[in-house]
This record gives sequence, C-alpha cells and structure tokens, in this order.
Amino acid sequence: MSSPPSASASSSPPPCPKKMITLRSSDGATFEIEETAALQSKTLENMIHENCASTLIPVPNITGEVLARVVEFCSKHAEAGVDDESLGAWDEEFVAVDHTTLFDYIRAANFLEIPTLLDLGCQTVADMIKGKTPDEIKKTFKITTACTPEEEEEVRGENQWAFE
Amino acid sequence: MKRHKPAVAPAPAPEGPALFDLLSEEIVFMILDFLDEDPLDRKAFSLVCRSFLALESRHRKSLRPLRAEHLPTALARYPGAAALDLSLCPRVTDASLAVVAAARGDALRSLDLSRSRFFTAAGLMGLASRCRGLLELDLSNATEMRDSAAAAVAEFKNLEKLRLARCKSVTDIGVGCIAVGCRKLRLLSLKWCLGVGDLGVGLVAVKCKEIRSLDLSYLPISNKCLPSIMKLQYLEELVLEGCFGIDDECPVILKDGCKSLKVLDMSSCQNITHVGSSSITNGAGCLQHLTLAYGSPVTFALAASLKRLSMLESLKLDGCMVTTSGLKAIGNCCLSLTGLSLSKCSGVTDDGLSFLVTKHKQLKRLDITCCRKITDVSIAHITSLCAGLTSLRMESCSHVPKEAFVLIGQRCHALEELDLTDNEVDDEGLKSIARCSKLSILKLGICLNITDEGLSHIGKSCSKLVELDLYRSAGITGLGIQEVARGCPSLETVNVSYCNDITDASLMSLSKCKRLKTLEIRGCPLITSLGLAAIAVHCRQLSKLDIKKCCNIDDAGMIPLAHFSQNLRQINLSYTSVTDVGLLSLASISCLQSMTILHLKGLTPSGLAAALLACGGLTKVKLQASFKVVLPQPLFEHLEARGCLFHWRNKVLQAELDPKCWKLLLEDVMH
Repeated sequence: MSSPPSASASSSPPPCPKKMITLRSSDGATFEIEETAALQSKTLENMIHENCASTLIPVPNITGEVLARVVEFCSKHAEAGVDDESLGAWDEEFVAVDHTTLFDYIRAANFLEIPTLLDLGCQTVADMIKGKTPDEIKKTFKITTACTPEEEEEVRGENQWAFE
Repeated sequence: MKRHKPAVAPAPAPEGPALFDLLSEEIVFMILDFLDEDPLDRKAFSLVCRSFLALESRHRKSLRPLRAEHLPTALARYPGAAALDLSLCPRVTDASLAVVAAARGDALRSLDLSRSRFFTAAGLMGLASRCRGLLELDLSNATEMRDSAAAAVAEFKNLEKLRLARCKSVTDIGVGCIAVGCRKLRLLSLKWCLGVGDLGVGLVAVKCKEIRSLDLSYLPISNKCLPSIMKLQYLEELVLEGCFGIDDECPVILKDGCKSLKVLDMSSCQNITHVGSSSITNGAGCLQHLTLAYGSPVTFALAASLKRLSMLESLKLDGCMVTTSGLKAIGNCCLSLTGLSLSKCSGVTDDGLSFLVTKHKQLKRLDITCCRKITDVSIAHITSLCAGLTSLRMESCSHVPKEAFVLIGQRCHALEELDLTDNEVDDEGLKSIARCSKLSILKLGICLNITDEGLSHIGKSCSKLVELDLYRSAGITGLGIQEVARGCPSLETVNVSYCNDITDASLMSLSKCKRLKTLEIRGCPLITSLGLAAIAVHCRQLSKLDIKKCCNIDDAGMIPLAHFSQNLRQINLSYTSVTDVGLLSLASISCLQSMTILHLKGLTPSGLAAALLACGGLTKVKLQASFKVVLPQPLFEHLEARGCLFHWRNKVLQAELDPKCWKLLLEDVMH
C-alpha cells in the first residue's frame, strides 16, 4: 500500500506513475492520496505548487477516522467519467452519518479548504433545519439551553410582525 | 487520542450547543446562507436558543421590514443589515428615514423606497448627510417628487445605481443636479420621467462617465441627445423604448458609434425605420441583444443593416410586420443568433421561418406566439434542425395540427420552457413531450384536447417541473393533477383555473409540493375548505392565492390560511362564501398586501371595516363601489394615509361560459 512517491512525474513510458501525497492525522495515522485528488483541497494545492508536498504533510486538527473519509471523498470527486447523478447519490450516502461525524467532515473541509465537501456538509445541515419548528430543531441537534419564556415571546412577536 | 469503539448501548451524544459550538461562526453563516428559500426557516433558527439568536442577528445582510413602525427594533436586532428593502412599508415618513439614518449611518448600502410614499426632500436630505456609503437607491413611483428632492438625491455622492422610474414631476434641472452630484453612477433609470428631455439627458451623458446602463424609455427626447450618449465609453445597456422623438434624421456623426454597447432596446419607437436603427447600431460591433419590437416592418433592408452585428445573440421583433424576404435575409446573417422572438408578428410564413431555421441550427430560444400562418411544416423544420432548443413559445399557433406536437417530444430533449397555450395538442402529443425531461415551465392553457391521460405522462417523466399552467383546459380532472403532484415535487406555480372537475383530493396531492408559491384555482366549484386547508398546512411558502368563484370555500378555509400561510402576499376571494369572520382572521398574516374581495355575499360593511383596519400591511384592495357609500369617508382617508390604495369596481355577477363558447367568442373578436 505504501508505494514510494515518484521522483519526477514527467517520465515518458505509459502509464505515468500517479504522484501520491502522504497525510498524517492528529493521531499519527498516515494516508496516501493521489495528487489529482489532493488538488480538491486549496490548502494542499498551495503546498503542492510550492513544492512542500514531497514529504509528509501533518494535518493536526483531524483524526485518522475522519481524514480517511475525507481522502475517500476527494478521490471519488477526482475520478473521471462519473456522471452527476451517481456522484450525487454517492454524496448522499457519504453524509448519511451521525451529527458529530458530519460536523467533523465540515470542520475538516473548512481546515483543508475543500469547497465541494464544505458546501455538501453545510447544505446537509441546512436541510436538517428546513421546515422545522424551533422545538424540532432543538430536538434534532439536542440543544438544551434556550431563551427565557419572555425573551422567546418577544422574539416570536418580532419575527412575525417586524420583518419578512 | 483515538476515538473509543461504540459500547453495546450507544453513548449519549454530546449535549447541547456543544455540537454547534464545534463550528466556527463563519461555518454557521455558510449554513444559514443555504436557508434562503423560506424566510420562516431563519426565523425558526433564531428562536432555538440565545446563541442561535445572536448568530442569526449577525448573519443577516438584508432586511425587509413589514411595517415602518417596526424599523427601530428590526434595525437594532440586525446590526449587519446593510440592504434595506422597504417595499412592504407603504408609509415611510421623514421620521422613519431619520431612524434608518441614525441606526445605519455610513454602513447603509442599498435602500428600496419604490413602493413607499409620504417621505419628502427633507427626509432624503437627512439620509444623504448621514449615509454617505449608499450605493443603490430605488425611488421609482415617486410621482409627487420634485426637483428639490432630486437635489437631495444628488448629495449621495457614492451612488452607483439609481432608479427614478415614473418620477414624472422631476425635470431637467433635477436630473442635472443628480448628474453633477452623483459622478459614480453606473446605472440610471429615468423611464417615464416625462419632465426630462434632451437637456437633462445630455448633462447625464457628459457628467456621469461611468454609466453602464441607461434607461430613457418614454422620455420626450430627440436625436440631439444621442451623440453625447454614444460617447459614453463604458455604456453597455441602452433602453430607448417608446422614444417617439427619435427618428431617422439621427445625425451621421454617429459613425463613431458606441463600441461598448451590448444591449439595445428600441421597442415602440414609431418614427424609426431601418435607416435610423442602422445609424444607431453603427459601430456597435459588440451588440449582443437587440430589441426592435413594435417598430417598423422587418424588411430585407432592415435585415441587411443587422449584418455587421457579428456578435448578436438575441433579436426581438415582437409585434412587427415581417416580410418573407426579411426573414430570409435574417436567415442569411446574424449567424451567432441563439434567441429570436417573432411573437405576434404578422406575415411570418412557413417559407420564411423554415429557411431561417435551416440557417440557424444553433437557436436556443424561439418565440412564435400568435404566428397564425405557421403550419406543421415549420414545426417539422424547427424540431429536426434545432436540437439544442431550450425555450419554445408558440401560443395560439392555430394552424398547427395536433400531429405536429409529437415531433417536439421526439427531438427537442433540451427543452426547459414550452408554451403551447391555446393549441390543438392532444394526449399523443403530451406523451411525446413528456420525453423532454428537463422541462421546468409548461403552459397548456386553453388546450381543449388534452386529458388526464396525457398529463399523467408529464407527471411520470418531468420531475423538474416548476411551473404548470392548465388554465381552462377543461379536460383535466383531479386525477391528472394527482399524477403531476406525485411526480413533480419542485412545482412552484400552478394554475388550474376553470378546470371544474378539480377536487379536494387534488389539492391534498398538490400539498406535497412544498415549494408551491402561486396557486390559481379560480372557478373550481368542487373545492371546499378542506382542500384549501391541506394546502395551507403543507405549502408554507404560498405567496399568491386566487380562489375566485370557488363558491364552496368558506370561513373554515380562512382559519388554516391565517395560521399557517405566513408568506401570503396576495389573495383573491371574490365570489366565495367567506364572510366577515373569515376575512378578519386573515389579519394575522403580517405580510398580506393585496386583497380582491368582490361579491362576497356574507360581507357586511362593519365586518369589512374591521378587516381593513386590522390588516395593517394592505397596499391594494379591490372591492365593490357600493361599499364606498355605506362606509364613513374618514375610514378610507385613514387607510389611504396608512398607504392603502382602493380600486373600486362595478362588476355585475357573471355566469360562466362554457370553454368552447368562450374561445369562439375570442376568435370572432380577433378576425
């Protein structure tokens, strides 16, 4: 599984050996990702262009479990020849996880600047909020602190009458 | 620190805001950006807990208050709202403007006062002195506004977009002040500013060098102002609709032309022929969109003048008389054309149209509304040659036989918009059209040959449908609607007026379409309050509702609307069984602006008065003239001062005509 990164990507004989980047998570696990997939992340893209990517890249904020899945996401989205519909279905499955994991994905996407994953995560959370009453939202995200009844009454009134 | 493996009993998830606390404010703002469809979603979010309230308050960038009285609280709650849309506040006084100025100051970027009255030049002056960062201002419809107010507007030195449509009391002097004061203007609309002429427009052209978009529609300007307009270096969009003062005598100085011009609209310029329009488009080699609607005949000469517009993408010739040689000449030039409108053009023949389409296979948008000489020959050409067609409008092409519509579905699979109103299309045609799975707008009004069978094909395949019009297509019953509701969850606009077999069950199916915003079910006698309740409960984004002549809807239908339809802006209740009670209950819908309430048998004068007083946001009410005399005049004065306009009608109760009889009557009128 650990093939040495090729010294130069411009060797002539086909097939070109794929350039791999190695990432290390906060808990010490390493993961390999193709350069083309890594380009999905703006942070990694900058590093690649500045040629810092030949050695191990530490990703201190992200655990191994989450990083593995992020690598999976980037690889899937870098694949050629996948049509929009099946990619959409794959994405839907990808985010069908518990809230904690979903929020981990979002934070990882934010740190690594992966716009596709960030949008997907945020849209998923937004979809969980759409059409729900405040109590339902509280239940969904297990939020216990709330406003006092007076505050709530005031805000409710404002929401209904003050603006659209 | 490795994550622990899940125990046999699932560990409790982290409590409370701990979950959302993991996300930075920036990320929560991104999530809130996705909650832009229904205003109620962000409101629900804000009520969850104190930190969510604070987050939502910091996130909101634009605000649309419902009443001017609530401005202070709304502005205090949303310190970041820099775009203020007061179009729901009919009454905005100088005091309200002062509140805005004090609360926002230089941070205010955009202000919409186009539906508001009662402010004066003094208020605008106060605003200008404190809101120096204002970039966008809409003062359209301020018919009483005079040059003194325009001078106040000139004090907004950083203004980039200014709309003054229908400000008919402003003169050249006022516009001159604005031109001198607002040097950074990029967009200016003076449409219908009948007091402005060559002098004012000339000053704008000389002083506002940054102008990109200029709307001079219906101004009494003449050829004299054109040379200076054409010298504007960055001008991209010029609208000269209805400028009767511009004629073919345009000076040939225009040979320098306007190189940056991309959009030109010269509709309804009665005194310009191809000679004049040729001079104006001289040098405008970058022109992309040209509108010559309701103008002089489209002849060979006109088409020839279009030859040098090599980048022309769209051409609108609505309402012009067209010759076959003209059409053929257009066919031979403008090869970059992707959009063509021949709506209501007389003289469009199969010969001309087929030739044109043969040369323009890349056409994406084609409008042949009311081209009554077109037959299946043209349709065959269009469908076989223009495979990339995304929009086809062919309302009232009465000579196209029903067999021709099958061709549309066979070949034009990129279609997103299709208007077949008042045509012979039948179920076979619809079955074929259902293959256009990208359809989002489908208009099948007055199509008397279609039935539920045809519609069910649409329901099965066109899942992206957003707008469906079945006005007076009496062959459609509740079953057809149920099929569509099942298969088209994205529907936003539905019109089934006068399809008298629509039932409550159909409305219950339609309630699955959560995005429904506009529903017109006029003249459906089988519908009761039960069906309406289903829509009210499930379709929270409902904004426009027309239930005229649904005589079986009564007060019981108004209660759910009052409770659930908090986005309802416009309602037509004429000829229903709603009484005082039902009407009054609608007062709890805070954004209700427009009401049409003719011939409500159960409406009493005092009930009407109570309802009108309670509905604080009303700006437009249509009702019977008979109420004018039985209610006290001070009541109407008070309501008008609050910003409500009354439209009085003397309509007599009309019996419904059967659809075919109605259609024949219309044809008699047309020929």
